[in-house]
Amino acid sequence: MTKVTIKKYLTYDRISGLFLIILSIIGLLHIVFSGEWGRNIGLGAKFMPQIYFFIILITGILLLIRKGEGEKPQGILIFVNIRSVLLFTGVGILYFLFILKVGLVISTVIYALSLYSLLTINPLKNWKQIVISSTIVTMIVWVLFDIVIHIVLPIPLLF
Amino acid sequence: MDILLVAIDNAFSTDVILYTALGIFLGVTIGAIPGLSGDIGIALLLPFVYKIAPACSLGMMIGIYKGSMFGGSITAISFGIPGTAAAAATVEDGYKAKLNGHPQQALLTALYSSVTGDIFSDIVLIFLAVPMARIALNFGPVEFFALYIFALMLITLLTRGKAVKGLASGVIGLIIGACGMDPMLGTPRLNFGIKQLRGGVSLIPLLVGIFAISELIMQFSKDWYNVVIKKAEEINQQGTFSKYNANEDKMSLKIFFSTLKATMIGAVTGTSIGALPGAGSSLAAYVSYGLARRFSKHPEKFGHGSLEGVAAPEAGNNATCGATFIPLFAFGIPGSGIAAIFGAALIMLGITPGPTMLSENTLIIFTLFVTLIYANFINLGISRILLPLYARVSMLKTRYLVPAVFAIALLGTYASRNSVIDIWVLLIAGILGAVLRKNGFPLGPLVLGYIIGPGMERALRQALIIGGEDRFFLFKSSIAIGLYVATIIFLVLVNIIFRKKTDKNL
Repeated sequence: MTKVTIKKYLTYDRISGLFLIILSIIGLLHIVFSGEWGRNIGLGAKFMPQIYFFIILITGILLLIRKGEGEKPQGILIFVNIRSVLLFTGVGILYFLFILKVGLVISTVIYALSLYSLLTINPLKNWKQIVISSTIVTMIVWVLFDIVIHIVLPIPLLF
Repeated sequence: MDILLVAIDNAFSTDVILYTALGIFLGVTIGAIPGLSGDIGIALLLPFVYKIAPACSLGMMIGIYKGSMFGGSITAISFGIPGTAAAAATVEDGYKAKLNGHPQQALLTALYSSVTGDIFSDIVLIFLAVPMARIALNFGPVEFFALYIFALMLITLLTRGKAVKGLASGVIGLIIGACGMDPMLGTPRLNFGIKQLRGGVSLIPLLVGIFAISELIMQFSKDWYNVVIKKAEEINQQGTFSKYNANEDKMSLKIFFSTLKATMIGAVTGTSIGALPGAGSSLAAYVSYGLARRFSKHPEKFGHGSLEGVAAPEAGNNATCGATFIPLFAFGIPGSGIAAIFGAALIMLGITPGPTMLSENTLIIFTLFVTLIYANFINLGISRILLPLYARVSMLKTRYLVPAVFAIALLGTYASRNSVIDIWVLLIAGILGAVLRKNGFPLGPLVLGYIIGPGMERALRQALIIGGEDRFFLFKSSIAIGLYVATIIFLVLVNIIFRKKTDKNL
């Protein structure tokens, strides 16, 4: 892990990112704890503000952790490229939902099968590529599962 | 036909002509002062829209807009300092032309090409607005939601490599637009317990604060007066004026026709780019400059005082004037900050921008179209006569300008609703705008988000209610799918273009 001094790390962008994260947390807490939000016909009054604050949170995180021009990657970053971080996070969330939907046993079997098929059909050398590709294949299987069998999702996607 | 004749009669009434001429004079003056732009002038006029007749107020706003577009080129050519962001591309060749001993040719080329580009885009607006509004009448909630997403993503992506900041800015605008009341049920939300905010954040103080107050805070801290004076002294020391020969600096028809090709390239490019939400006049100016150089018989002269290099960006940036109203009139979506302010003015006059606007308010809209066309000729006349005066305007001291503009903003905002809360909104919006600018966040997406936010939410929720349990209802319209695909294509294209530029710079 590279040693990072606070002065070097706190650029304008990152301060903006931090501010946006704080704003989004305050906003989301306000929505959760500020009391009655009226009748919930359809999606309700708090639906869109929650989405907006969530997007602000993501943009704040992006500004906080992305690499600036000419900078070396900072120590708190696990991956060099922010796209990898997002991909892993996004795929991880999807895989969690998949497990909830079809159960751990079936998901493990499908995951193992996709991993095996990818290794044999298209040998990938980079372990990150292997994990991402097999997880995406598993997700595709999930989508087919959903369309063919029409199973209702176990948890609501919208809160 | 009768309505058109009445509209022409309205547009050519003495009051409207005088207000339009006043607007052009103010607009060129504002544009010529580095740090001020047409946004500020029009935003300052917004609170007074109630007090003036509709055709007169719209005419004055159009005059300020068109005048400021040309005004920015005056300091760009005279001092090498763009008066507005849109005139930055003109500095390349305009200032060099002046140093080569052809300031008058450069300034008049800028004027004639600006007017030509403007007329072209106004004609395109007039011919395109009606058919596009007819198409928009077929839009339902699903299509409008897709359109709003497309417009918001476009204005975010086109913010010159700052997509993440543009997105944050747009969503901040959506949050501000969500304050006050739920658009479907009227449930109070995000009003922080303040009674006066139950109706939402008011449009006028927000726009005036974001554009005018923040600009004052940001730009005038740079003390442009000293910058301009220093430049003038540098020019004197170079001895350029001693070599100046007025006989060699006369404008002629031959020179005008030699730059006509570059002018038309700028006009077409500016109109196409101006019609896209978020593209902006400075992008249009730079793209026009690049294309004109590519298609010129003498590309090697660009960057060394070529008059084609003045004509193309000037035509390009002025050609966005008419085109920027196309999405506003057809769909009710403002494509730029200035279009948003115009939209606000129309709302204040009881006209809701959108596809039904043309059928429900035909007379006022036709009057607006006629005013758009003849304002260009008034601009030509006034600017031609007052050109020597405008160059000196940029030397006005900021210590007099800043308090005057600030006072007008404050008084105008209070005068619109007699509400103290509006003053607070004005000041907070000004500080927010200044902080966002300082940190490189664009303001266009914020304004667009504020304006389309309630409409977007209403469209989504109506669509979901109509769709019932069908989760994919939002994707069942071919128009909506087309818009989503267009959004993805722009996302990929812009990513590739900006990445190539970054790789090239590295």
